[in-house]
Amino acid sequence: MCWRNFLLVLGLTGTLWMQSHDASAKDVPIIGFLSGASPEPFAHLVEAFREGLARSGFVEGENVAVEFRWARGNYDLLAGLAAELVEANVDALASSGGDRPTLALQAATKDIPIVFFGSDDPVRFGLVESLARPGQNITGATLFTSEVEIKKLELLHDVLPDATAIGVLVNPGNPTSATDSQVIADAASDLGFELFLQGAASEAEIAAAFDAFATQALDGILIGHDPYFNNQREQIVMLVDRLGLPAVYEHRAFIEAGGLMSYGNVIEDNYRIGGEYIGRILKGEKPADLPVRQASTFEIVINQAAADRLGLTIPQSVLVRADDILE
Amino acid sequence: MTSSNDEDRPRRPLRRKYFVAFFFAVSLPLIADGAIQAVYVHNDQRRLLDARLAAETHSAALQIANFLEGVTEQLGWLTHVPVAASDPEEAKVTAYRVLRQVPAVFGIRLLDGVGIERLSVSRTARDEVGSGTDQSSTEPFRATRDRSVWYGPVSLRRETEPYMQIAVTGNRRSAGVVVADVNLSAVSDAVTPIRIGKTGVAFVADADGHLVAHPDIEQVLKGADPERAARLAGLREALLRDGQAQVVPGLEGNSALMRAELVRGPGWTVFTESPTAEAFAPVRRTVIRSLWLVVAGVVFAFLLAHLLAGRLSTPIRALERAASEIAAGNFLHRVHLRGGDELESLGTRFNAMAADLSDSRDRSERIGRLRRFLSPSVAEIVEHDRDDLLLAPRSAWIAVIFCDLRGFTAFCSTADAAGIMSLLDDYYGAVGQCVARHGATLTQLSGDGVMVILNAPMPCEGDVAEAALAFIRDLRNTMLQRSGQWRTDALDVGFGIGAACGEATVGRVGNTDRHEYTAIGQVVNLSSRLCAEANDGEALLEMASFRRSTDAAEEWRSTSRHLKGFPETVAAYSLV
Repeated sequence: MCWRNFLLVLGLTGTLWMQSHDASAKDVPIIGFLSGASPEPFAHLVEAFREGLARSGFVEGENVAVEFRWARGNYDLLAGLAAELVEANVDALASSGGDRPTLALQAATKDIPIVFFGSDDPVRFGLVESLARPGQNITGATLFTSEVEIKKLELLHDVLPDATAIGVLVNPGNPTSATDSQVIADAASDLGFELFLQGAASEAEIAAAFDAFATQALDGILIGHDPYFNNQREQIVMLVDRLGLPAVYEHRAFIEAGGLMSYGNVIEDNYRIGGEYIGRILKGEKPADLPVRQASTFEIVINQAAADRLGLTIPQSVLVRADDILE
Repeated sequence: MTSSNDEDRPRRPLRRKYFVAFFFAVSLPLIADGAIQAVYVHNDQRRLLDARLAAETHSAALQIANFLEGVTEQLGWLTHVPVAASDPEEAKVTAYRVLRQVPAVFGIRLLDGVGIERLSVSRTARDEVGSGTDQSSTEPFRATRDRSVWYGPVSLRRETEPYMQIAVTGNRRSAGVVVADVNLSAVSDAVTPIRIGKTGVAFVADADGHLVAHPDIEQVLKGADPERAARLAGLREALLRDGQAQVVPGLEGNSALMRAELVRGPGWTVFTESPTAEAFAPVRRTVIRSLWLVVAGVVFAFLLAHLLAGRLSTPIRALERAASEIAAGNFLHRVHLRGGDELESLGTRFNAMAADLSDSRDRSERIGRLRRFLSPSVAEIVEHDRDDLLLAPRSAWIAVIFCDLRGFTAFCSTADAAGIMSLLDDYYGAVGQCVARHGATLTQLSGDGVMVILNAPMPCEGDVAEAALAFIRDLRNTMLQRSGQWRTDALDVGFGIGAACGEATVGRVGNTDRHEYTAIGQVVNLSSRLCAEANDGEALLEMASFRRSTDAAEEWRSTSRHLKGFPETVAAYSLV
């Protein structure tokens, strides 16, 4: 009889094994994508995010779904949109457009993993415990922002060696604006610049700031780093054009929109890193263990056509540094 | 009938023997096959992985070396003109060019021949021309005294990005030293995409065993782990010396197949590792598959043993039972075995044996019966007469003596069966004793009549008639005594005897199962008729046969009788 029992056990084991291998149906994970900006000006960044997702094997619409929420520059909406995404019980959250959306998401959930694409200083804003060990449910990639304002000012100085009066546009809604202002003021005094600082956090305020610039005899303009400014780049470039002044911007996107020159990180890189991180988190990795990455590529982009319009000769020392010259 | 107590149960049953035999027959080849396969798979896997690790390690080492060489080559441009003598702005443009060419370079400082900083450009900090700070005591400056390229230790900028200082000096030391901050993400990029199997990775450690790059940046971020650094340094030595992949404790301390290659320049080592658990998973799978096959083999052997033992033990038990039946005397028991094999023929033979035994017993019984009526010698002959010569039909001169009972028919109609049988037993017993005493042959025994012959099949000693006379006297005396006894028991039964000598045909008649020895001829009829003619207690002897023998005897009276079936009267002697 013993052998019969043995066979019975064998058969049962086989049945259980087959059953355990039968369970396969699983829902597609959902990513909540919160941005302070608008979809159109950020389309190229969303594309980079998708590339990052693809690097860890996720394709939107196939094995992952993305829920987009755009504040369109109205930061007051962020808290509501963040709550909406958390309510929808998404599997991971992506934060686009500076630190404000990340802070809104952080306030909304302590559990759902959050990945930011461009923080200025995640430790200072309490998003992570340290870059090496984020420790909480948040990780992502940082940009060199405040310190790079020095390089932008330097670039302006290289192009306009005789300039003395520089208009600076910052966004007081950006948590780094105070630091930025201080860094810019320090560097300006070294370079012998006189600064005319204007703050703007909305389309109307930007227009008002440029009205104020128009009243001054300025030699050039520095557009501070800010996701909202990126969002409003068409308007800003148009207003700068109207003033007929050389200006330095943060990203290539401004130059493609007609701006004169830019110095800064390649933000697309961060969106790719962030997309990859979200993919890894969906596969089970913990944001607390994923170190915050840093943008490591800097590029100088120059618009030769804009320079020609301004009757400006870009010095050789600047041209050799330029990664790209748009003509 | 079948005995199933413990003593009769086999000590080592067929089933167990078959199981052991089948188990070895099935398992040994499987185990041998599994072992051989495992060895081959292991060797193949080892060879494949070794080649794979070698290729990956080499390509990563080459990529890293090329990257670093590209950086130093670009930095070399800055050493062509003595920095002290050149236009600082011109040097700045050259430095900018290098930044443009090599994205990994984060910042460049130019030191003159005595270590004074002449220029500093950075991607994030203010550019400075002629800061004049004294850098002569710094490591990059001192280290480049005796070599043209110096690679600094790996450090983490803002906690997570590995950086390294590289110092380059030209052929003229006085021309100055270029010190650059280099982002090492390119080194990570060289090893991160490498995946050997599912979990095998490549990583880079410096000469002291500190990690420079690993696909899992956390491993690099762990920083200086002296214990791990010492182990990696040891591994590097062992692996580089051997130049082959080896199974060693890997980065995490778990067993792994590893290979190492030196990176030209900074003295780093590229390691590739494939955890043994995964690397030799195919070997394990082979072994496990073999084990499963062995398990299946055991089950198979068990089933087969069960089946075959069942096939055998059923007929064996049938034979056992049949043997018991036959031992108990049931010769009609037969075994029914099918299958066309040896067992069936054994069954057939067994049945034949049972039939033979049955025949043999029948024969013995018959002989036993015969023994009562034949003299022991004749019975012996009949029993052992294999060639049938004695019993073969022939013509012989014999004496035929008939004896029957008088008043038996009347007795039968009044007596019960037991009484009849008892009387017959007594009668046959008496006749039998006489037959035995005289070596006569009792040929017929039917009801109250008996027929005895002399001189066949065994010839009697001396004259047949005299022997017959002696037998008749004895028989008559015995019968007289018996019938006297019967009369005192109030049984009115007497007897008569008839005898004649003459030629007759003697021999065995009947089929193989049942045959008798008998005599046929006129003398038999004559003797029978004489017996019928004899009165109670009278013996009638045909005169012609016995004339010579009875001459001397006064007790015999001459008489003449008219016998049925005989045309003339027959002369006879009568003894009353």
